[in-house]
Amino acid sequence: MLSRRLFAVLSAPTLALLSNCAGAQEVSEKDYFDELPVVLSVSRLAQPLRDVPGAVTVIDRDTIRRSGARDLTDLLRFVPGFVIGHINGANPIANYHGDFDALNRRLQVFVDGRSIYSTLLAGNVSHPMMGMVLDDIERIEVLRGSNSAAYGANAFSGVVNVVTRAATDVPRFSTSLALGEKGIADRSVRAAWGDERLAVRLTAARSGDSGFDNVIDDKRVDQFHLRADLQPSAADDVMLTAGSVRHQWGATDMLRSENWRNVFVQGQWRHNVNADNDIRFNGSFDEEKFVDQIYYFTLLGVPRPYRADGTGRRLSLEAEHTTRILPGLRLVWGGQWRHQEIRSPDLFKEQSALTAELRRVFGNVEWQLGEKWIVNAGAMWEDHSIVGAHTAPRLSLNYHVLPGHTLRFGSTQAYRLPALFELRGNWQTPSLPGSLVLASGGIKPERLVANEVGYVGEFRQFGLTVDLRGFEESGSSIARYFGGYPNDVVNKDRYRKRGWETQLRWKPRPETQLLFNHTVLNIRAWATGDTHISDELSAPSHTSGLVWFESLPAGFEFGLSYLTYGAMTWGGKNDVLDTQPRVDLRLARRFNIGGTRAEVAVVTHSATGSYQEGDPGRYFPRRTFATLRLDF
Amino acid sequence: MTYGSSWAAATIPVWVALSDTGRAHNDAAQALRAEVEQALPGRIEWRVAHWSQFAGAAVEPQWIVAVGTAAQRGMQNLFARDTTPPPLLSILVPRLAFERMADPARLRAGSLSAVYLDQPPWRQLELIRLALPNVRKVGMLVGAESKGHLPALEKAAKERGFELAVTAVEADGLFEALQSVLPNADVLLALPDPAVFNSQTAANILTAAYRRQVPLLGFSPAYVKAGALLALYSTPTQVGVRGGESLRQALTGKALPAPQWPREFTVAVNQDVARSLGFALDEALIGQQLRQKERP
Repeated sequence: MLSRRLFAVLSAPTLALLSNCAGAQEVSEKDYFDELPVVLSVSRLAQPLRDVPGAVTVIDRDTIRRSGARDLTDLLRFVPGFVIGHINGANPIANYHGDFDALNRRLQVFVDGRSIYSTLLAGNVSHPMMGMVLDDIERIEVLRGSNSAAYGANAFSGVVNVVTRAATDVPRFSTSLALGEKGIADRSVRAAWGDERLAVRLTAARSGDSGFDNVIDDKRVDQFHLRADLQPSAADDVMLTAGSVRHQWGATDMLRSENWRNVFVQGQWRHNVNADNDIRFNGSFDEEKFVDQIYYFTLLGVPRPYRADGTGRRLSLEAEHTTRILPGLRLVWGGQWRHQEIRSPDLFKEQSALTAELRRVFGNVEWQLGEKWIVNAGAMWEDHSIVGAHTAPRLSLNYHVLPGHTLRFGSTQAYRLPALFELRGNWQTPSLPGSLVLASGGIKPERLVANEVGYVGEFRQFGLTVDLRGFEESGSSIARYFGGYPNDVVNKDRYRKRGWETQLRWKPRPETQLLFNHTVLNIRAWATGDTHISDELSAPSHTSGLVWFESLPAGFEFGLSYLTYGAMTWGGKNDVLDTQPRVDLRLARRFNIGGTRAEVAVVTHSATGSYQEGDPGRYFPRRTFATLRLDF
Repeated sequence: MTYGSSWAAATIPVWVALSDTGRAHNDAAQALRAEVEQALPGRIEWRVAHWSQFAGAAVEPQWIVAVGTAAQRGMQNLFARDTTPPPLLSILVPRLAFERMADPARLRAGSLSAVYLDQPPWRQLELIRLALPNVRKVGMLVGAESKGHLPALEKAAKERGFELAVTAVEADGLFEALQSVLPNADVLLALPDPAVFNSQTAANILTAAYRRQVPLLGFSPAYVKAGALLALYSTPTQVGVRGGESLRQALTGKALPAPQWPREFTVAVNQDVARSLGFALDEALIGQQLRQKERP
């Protein structure tokens, strides 16, 4: 008896030590009582759709994959209210509720919180929108309607928020290839590695096609993206992104070739102070180079090159604090400083750099009043070094009529600050004396007042979500190139857009997904000079779309989309387009080869034939291509 | 023999060996004592201490209660050479830990039993059915340890029409495992396994699941605080009460009941996460409905 106890006394610590080592991976009650850091804190939790102060369309990764789309603009076809046009096959443009010229500078596009737009090319987002690989995207949130109060001046007509996949969320190695008609040749490789503390992904991609028929618009996009996710401690996470994008179009043996290049770096640090307070810092630097080379003929018939080149740079620093003041009251507030710089003797007749600085302060509160009401109120104050200061406010009330049924009433005022080209542009071509565009610099910011009513219905038992938005958007001081020769930028235009749009998402059974969109839009415009048909038809009076995804046995998938538009013009020209319904088809099969996941697909765009989408002569052709994707 | 000593002889010496002197173990011990004292006031001579302090004790216990894994191991070792060791009731132990240490002969003989800390598989699945009626596929990340729960879970899932999506986490392969399980899961059921769910990996798992909008069902209140949609667990007090009931039964002459799950439990909901994921959940109501289902 005694000896046993003695033995036990001696051996007890040894055993405890042993059990600690050997048992490190064995379950004990400690697993139940360990404290954990707060991971999903106030600012990391997204507002649910029914509480958001606006209409939102979410495009998830599965939809992206099954859409057969090759770029971001392609995907926006499935968002109610969006209108797609083309300068040519290499330059697609997506606008919300139409726009009055062939640039897209009224849409705010974010990639992981970095605002993407061309500083040099009048704030155009079309080139930067080429600069992403769809397979790197986790989710796209499209906020339909103005939201300058939360996102600033560029969020004039809407916000496209692209969230890319974290380095930890992608397979170790992936590769994809697309080949098909009209010169389609896309390829990409991606590698990812790391652990819980540091994970990195790298993507390199090249895509290209020969564009539209009978137009010189061969396109090639080369891009390289890096994303690193660091978790130095449970309370901190850091994201670093960097990349380069080169979008070139035209053909080398033709008279004109253009190319736009962009390199960027971005860093974001989020720190969780405690359960109710988060801070976020974000900084990014972007540099772009644009080369537009045209050969013109002198009076003697000798071809001479003319270049319209330029560089743009911007540095943006932002800090944001999210706090819960009371259990139902959240506040996000912060500030931003942005420096923009342009150098382009060709577009500005100015050897030195032109600069503009932007300072912003913003605040948004989300207040839950009982079970039924959510108030979202916010404002952004912006001070532009050339244009001056403005404040954009917003108020939205969400009323939960019954569980799953929400009504929304919102009102907002937005401003779009003119781009440097609209303020200081002086563009000359050698074939003409004088300037093509000569901005007198006298323009004010464009102004928009938008009122909306919305309904979000979630019928979970039927797998159905309904989203309805009725709106009136009144724009004033809208900028236009006016005067003929030279063109000045004047902003005396006004418009009023009224209408409604709906989106139904229905998953009647796990294998079937249906998406239905319908938009009705009426535009009245009061333009400088003559009233333009192009303004009132800058978006079709109605647009309908249906997308059907079906999962079939043996890993097969089928997809069909059908889009039909009413009469419209495009790019500020008065010609009514020869639009026809567009049908896209996709048939795919997913299977495993050992541990490798594979997907092969055949996609046809515009299956019923070509239709006009953009300038006269710009017909989107029928094109079929095959894709192969491998995840190792 | 004095009156006093005869009274003393009538008391039953019971050891309560704690794995740890922290709050959880003390709460469980206290609840157990209170439960027994209520039925047999003053009859027990309690000795409550850290398990390592019982070596060399002068009085042999009639009963031993081990609170936690280390205490069970310590007490078993202490009496390892006894031919008839005092009966041992282990409480606040995970089932797998208990079964690993338990001597099957003693289990059969009824001199060893337990009140587990974990939740029975049917209760976890019934909770999912009540709180998330649209869920069909239950995802799980398992390690070498938590694999042991699979047979029972698979059986319970089959009976209730759930589909299990199980992914094994290999060494250093948490992200691959998450990538493979999340696309196939409507909910992620966390099972305690220090190789899979620990304070380091919890952040990665919770964020990855949230990004995919897959709710997580955790096994402790810490999970709900950290960002799990909901958690199902028994508090140390709830386990202690059940332990007290078992011991009382045994002390009043009946056999020590077979190892059991805690009867009382708690459902906790993280309302911020629920709102963000679009769920309206009332933790009190769900708990009540779940209790009603278990009532015969």
